Amino acid sequence: MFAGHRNLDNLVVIVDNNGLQIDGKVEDVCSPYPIDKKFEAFNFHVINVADGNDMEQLRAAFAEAKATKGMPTAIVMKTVKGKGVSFMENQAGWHGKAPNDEQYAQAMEELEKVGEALCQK
Amino acid sequence: MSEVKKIATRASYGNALVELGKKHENVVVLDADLAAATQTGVFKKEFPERHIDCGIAECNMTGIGAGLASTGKVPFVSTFAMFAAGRAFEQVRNSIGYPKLNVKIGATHGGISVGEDGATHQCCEDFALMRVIPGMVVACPSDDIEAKALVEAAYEHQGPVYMRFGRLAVPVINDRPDYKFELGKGIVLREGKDLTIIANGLCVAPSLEAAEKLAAEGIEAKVINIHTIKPLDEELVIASAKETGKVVTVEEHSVIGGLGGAVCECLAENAPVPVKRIGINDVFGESGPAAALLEKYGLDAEGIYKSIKEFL
Repeated sequence: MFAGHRNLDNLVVIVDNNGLQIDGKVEDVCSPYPIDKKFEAFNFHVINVADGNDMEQLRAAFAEAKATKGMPTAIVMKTVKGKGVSFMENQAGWHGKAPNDEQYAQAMEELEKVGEALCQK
Repeated sequence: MSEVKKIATRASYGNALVELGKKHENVVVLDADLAAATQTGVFKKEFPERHIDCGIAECNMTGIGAGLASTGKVPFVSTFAMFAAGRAFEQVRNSIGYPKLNVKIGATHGGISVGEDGATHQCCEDFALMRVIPGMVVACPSDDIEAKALVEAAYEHQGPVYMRFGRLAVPVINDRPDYKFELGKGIVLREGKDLTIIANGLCVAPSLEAAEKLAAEGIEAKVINIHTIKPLDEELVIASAKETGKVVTVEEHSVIGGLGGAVCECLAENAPVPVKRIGINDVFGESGPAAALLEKYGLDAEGIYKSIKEFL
């Protein structure tokens, strides 16, 4: 509300909307949806990103945010929690838990592969 | 006594901010839709570009203060004590205290002397809430002169400071050439061998009056003005306790966790003596004229005198 009122166009709010919270699915616990309409109501320019795990889509969103003048921007992106680590993806239980040594090794191995694939793009 | 000059320390706060603003470009003042009451309005009039009204959103204001401090500004975050210490506690602790940011919190309308606004707005818990935050300086001035000196000292101090000011006009008691303000240093206002009265804020003046009533009966009280609750002037408190053998604390705050609590913690570990804590006895305030409330809750000179007589 303050940012919208003051036209703070040097401010970008990023909503990492992975759909999960500690007690379960966001829509089941206490739904804040639609998030974009709420930011619009507070005088934000809103950019919805369909896949927040896609670098190209993010790059485009940040470029648009930077070009937006006279109001703050909210980037609301749909993401996958724990993306790239098979046993963590979409699991609310990983909110505040640390992996053990074995899980860590497996997670890093999987993320290395994801990283290599990205670099070859 | 009717000729004594009276000024509310919230007015002193506003005036001191203007003086500070003239001297220092980096002073910015934040308020939350209470500029007329907190008296930051006078600063706004003088420096509109350095006064930010954040609306009724104290937690956000506290965060904005933290952000401004991180860019080198010296923000004075201003609202009622209830909202500064109460509503925004988490932001004060995590956004200001934890990163040790140089934010000054100007909390007006502390204690029951808020008067007619009643219990929801009468904060008697702020010393306790602010005192437990590591690195937070907590102070409450006794009059106009001390309030102005405090604002100046808070600016010079590097780190977070919580200042509590009052709504009610209180007598000017520190108007003397040898008055010296130093954060963390108590001021002995009267010598006495029979007991030590340690007071702060608007309780200092009636404590002095109570000491005079006691003196008329041959009881000599040492009176100390402890404007800084944290860091407490332990040296002075311990020495006075040893010297007089009995200690009374007087504050417009809960007897739990404030000045009385701090003094008891210090004395229990260093110089155990009988202590009487005069303050709000673990109850909420109520709506009424400030003077009537101070009388009802035993914080006027007569009430303080009676409590001390019972204690002795």
